[in-house]
Amino acid sequence: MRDPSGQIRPLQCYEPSQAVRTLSVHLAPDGNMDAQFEYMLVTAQSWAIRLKVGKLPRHLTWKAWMSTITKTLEYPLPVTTLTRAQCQKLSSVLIRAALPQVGVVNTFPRALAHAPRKFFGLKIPDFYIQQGVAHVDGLVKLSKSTKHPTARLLRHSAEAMRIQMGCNGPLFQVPWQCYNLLDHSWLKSTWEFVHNFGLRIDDDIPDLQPWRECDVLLIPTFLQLGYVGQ
Amino acid sequence: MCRLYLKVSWLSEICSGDGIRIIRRFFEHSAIPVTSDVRYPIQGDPPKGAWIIWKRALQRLCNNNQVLHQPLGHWVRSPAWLYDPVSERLFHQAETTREYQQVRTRRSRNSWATFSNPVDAGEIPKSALPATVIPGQNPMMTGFSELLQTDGMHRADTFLSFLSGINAEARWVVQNVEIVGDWESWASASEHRLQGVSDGISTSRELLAG
Repeated sequence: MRDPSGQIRPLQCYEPSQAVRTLSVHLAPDGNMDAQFEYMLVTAQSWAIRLKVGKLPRHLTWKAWMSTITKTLEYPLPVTTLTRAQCQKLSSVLIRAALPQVGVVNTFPRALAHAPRKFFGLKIPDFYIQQGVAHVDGLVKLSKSTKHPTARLLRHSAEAMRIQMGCNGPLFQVPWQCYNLLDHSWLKSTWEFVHNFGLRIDDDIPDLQPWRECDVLLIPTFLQLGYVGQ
Repeated sequence: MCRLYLKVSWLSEICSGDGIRIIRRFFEHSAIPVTSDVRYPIQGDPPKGAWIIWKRALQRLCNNNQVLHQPLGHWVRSPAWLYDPVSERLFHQAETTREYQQVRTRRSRNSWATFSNPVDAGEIPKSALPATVIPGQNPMMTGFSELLQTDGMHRADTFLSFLSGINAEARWVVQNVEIVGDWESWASASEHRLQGVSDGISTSRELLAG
């Protein structure tokens, strides 16, 4: 096709599952995060190797950890849908390499490592929580906007999610069994986070409207009858 | 999986017009998706195992004759239309009284029908099915959401040859006509010759143009 200057440019053809790096994030049309996770893991491992051979003083190691690699890995989190296991893997690579370098024993309890200072923790960021908070933050900020392209995209995705679930009510409060009915998506990942941490988010996504009196939605009815995860 | 394939969310979407029973074909593996105004995600034909679970779940809602344990009530969405493929009658629910009226069809000499003012429907046939109808100015344009019983169809390269090939005794509803290409040229070609025939998946703009 022609570019803005009129030159003919070949169009690259990709598979739906193939990710392409856009604005420092590897995104695939089908939403899989394999390439992005691989990229983040290699980045973390590369930093860990350099840290081991660098022999920085403790305070500089801590500063490098918090201000370089952590920020690099945090940057794409608002758009990623990494699983908890993937986030723990990333944290694990950094913690195993950096903890001894800052003078903390490698077997230091991980829960305490991520805990705030007032609870005598090290306040090392947990990427899964960072990602979930970024998602919720984005949802709240964009929820009132009707013109922002991302807000409209989110609204369309939420409406599609409602149709795919076949349930009414607040989107993130529908029965958890509906989770398996959904395709992988940003909103599904957010719902998982919200569910895991017992958060409540209300929305104004319209309900499916009944056709008749005494009408019932099929999915909640099937769930009541005991058809779970089928 | 079967629900998304069939493009239904509510029980009423798979029930007969009288709200008493589930339509038999929705129990079967070969069920054809409903034409819906809602944009459902694309879902391929589910595996046999999924259909077995679907059938088993539906059977919990009705007895062996597909009669619902809890019949459905009046239509709450307005306007609501029903089409009875057996008697070829179309029913419309009045917005004020919520009673059904039969939309009279008047056959013209070339066997196509036009719709005129409604009359009292009386009892709704049990074979009546939910339908999608888009009223135009004149004539009324319709797009039915359910399978209709019609005569055999044929293929034609142009719309005029298609019309000339239809048996003069053809019934007033035509099924399985796939129009490919420019809608407006089809609309001008069909002027005064064809009224309100659609496969139900067209947008209202296309139907009104046609």
